[in-house]
Amino acid sequence: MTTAPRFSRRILLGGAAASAGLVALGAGGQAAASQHLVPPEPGDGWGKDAIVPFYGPHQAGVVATPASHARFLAFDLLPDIQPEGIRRMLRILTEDAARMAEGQPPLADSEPELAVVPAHLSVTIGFGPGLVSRVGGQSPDWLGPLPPFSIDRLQPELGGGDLLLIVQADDLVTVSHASRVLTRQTRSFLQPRWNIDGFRRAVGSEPAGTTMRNLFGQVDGTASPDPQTDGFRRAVWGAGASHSGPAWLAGGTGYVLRRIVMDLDTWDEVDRRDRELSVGRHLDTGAPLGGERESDAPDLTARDALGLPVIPDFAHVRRARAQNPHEVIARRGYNYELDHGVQGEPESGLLFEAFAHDPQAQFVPIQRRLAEMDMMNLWTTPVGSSVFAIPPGCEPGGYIGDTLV
Amino acid sequence: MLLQRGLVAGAVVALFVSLTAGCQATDSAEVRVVDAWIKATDESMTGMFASVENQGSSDVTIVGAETEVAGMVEIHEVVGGVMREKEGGRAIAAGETAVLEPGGDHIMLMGLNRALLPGETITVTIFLGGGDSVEVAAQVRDFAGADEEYVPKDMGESAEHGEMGE
Repeated sequence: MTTAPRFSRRILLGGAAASAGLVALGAGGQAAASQHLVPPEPGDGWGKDAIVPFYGPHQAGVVATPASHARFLAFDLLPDIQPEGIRRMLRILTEDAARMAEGQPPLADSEPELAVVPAHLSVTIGFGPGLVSRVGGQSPDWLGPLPPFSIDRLQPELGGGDLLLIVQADDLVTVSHASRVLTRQTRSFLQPRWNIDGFRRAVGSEPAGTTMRNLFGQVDGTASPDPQTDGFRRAVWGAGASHSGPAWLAGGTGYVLRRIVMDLDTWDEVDRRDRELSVGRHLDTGAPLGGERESDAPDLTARDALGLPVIPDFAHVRRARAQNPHEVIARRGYNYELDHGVQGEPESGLLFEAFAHDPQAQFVPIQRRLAEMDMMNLWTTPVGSSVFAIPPGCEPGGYIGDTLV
Repeated sequence: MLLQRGLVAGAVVALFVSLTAGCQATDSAEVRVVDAWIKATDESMTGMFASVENQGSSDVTIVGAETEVAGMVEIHEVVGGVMREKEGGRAIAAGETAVLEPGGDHIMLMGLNRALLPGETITVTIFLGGGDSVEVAAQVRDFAGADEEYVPKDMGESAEHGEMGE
């Protein structure tokens, strides 16, 4: 039974996050604590008013502004669960997620007071190939493990699963409660497979829309298209794409989650200049080398006085750059820290997320180039890899997955 | 105890504002039932819970209920950790809300003729006395609590409750 260590890891992680917060508060100074720790007023977009509407054509968590916290929970279906049971399960997940998104306690919530602060809670539901085949549905051809990459050191128990829940919110108590509710309400259908917590900057700590930094200190995710753009809609929903997946996935997308260990100790040995050359961006602004602003397009042809490429051939931005319009993905990421990682020691890294209507066509070529050559490979190691189908959203009265089962 | 109940009632009134598929409200005259759910079980009895709001100007009483999955239904209370039939049913004063919850007053479904599975919806008719009734769609949910010991008092009386109302 692997439940116990998994559970304790979650507890430990919560503890680590909490103590990190305390340290930050201490460092911030006493004056800040006395002057600024005023509870937010209703209507200022925090806490109770911070609602991400659940219902709609797409699942809200895909397009919502990334939250401060995310918990990724993967499950396997119990062996005897039939399509009729999956239908009941999806109804429960949908209704509970929808209510908690509005700060309303779900049915049979024994801690209803914990549900009243949605803090931009979103719950995204993903299907693994096992669930699709269990209901006799048609799987898109990309729904399954990614092809192996030379850099991979994958642990099977850290990836895959029949069902994925991504619980995002700006408040860790909200994440904890929502995850608890959804797990205990579905224990007749599911058994836990793996889970992990990710974090970004606390809400309000930097201007909205600021690109996140990973634990190497790099601006991470600049090139991802904005959800309001046609580029995003094409990459993620397949709007206007030449080929499409099964009908039940219209309005949905594909999803890749990679747990990438980042070796902070060896990264410590690298000086600032080499760090910038490795990624191809300036550390302070996030601008591509040779550019001035984060949003500047990398000039991959620029050469310095010695005739060397300003952005080296091995730089991450060069290797990761889409070679054609079909390779565009929407990406998101959360940092993570574990007291006991795959080596049984503290582990830090990035939970890398890619949204693409066809991950095989859009994501795999990029990953292949990165595996062949990317200086960042020296300090990063993928240990977990999962692919899920993210079905479309639904309307009140429906449920996520009602196009499939 | 009273304070606790007040808090839960407050939360339920807030739920009222935006009703989703899971918490269908059912109107009968001036009684609204929201957030009805039943504890999943594969045994012979289980509890049903809900918030029953009396929006009218006169008192009502939940005197019984009926559903095709149960041979018998009683209104129960929990006293000293022991569950028993509530004499005279559950009265709800005008303007008040009865919170039927685990550990408190609830509707007991007995003689179940099949397992009740999480996520399914069961139709229950609640009898309000004076010939009034309200039909409720209650969703079945896994729940670890609501395991009070049941001490049957008088089965004859309970059977009568099942026949009142209509």
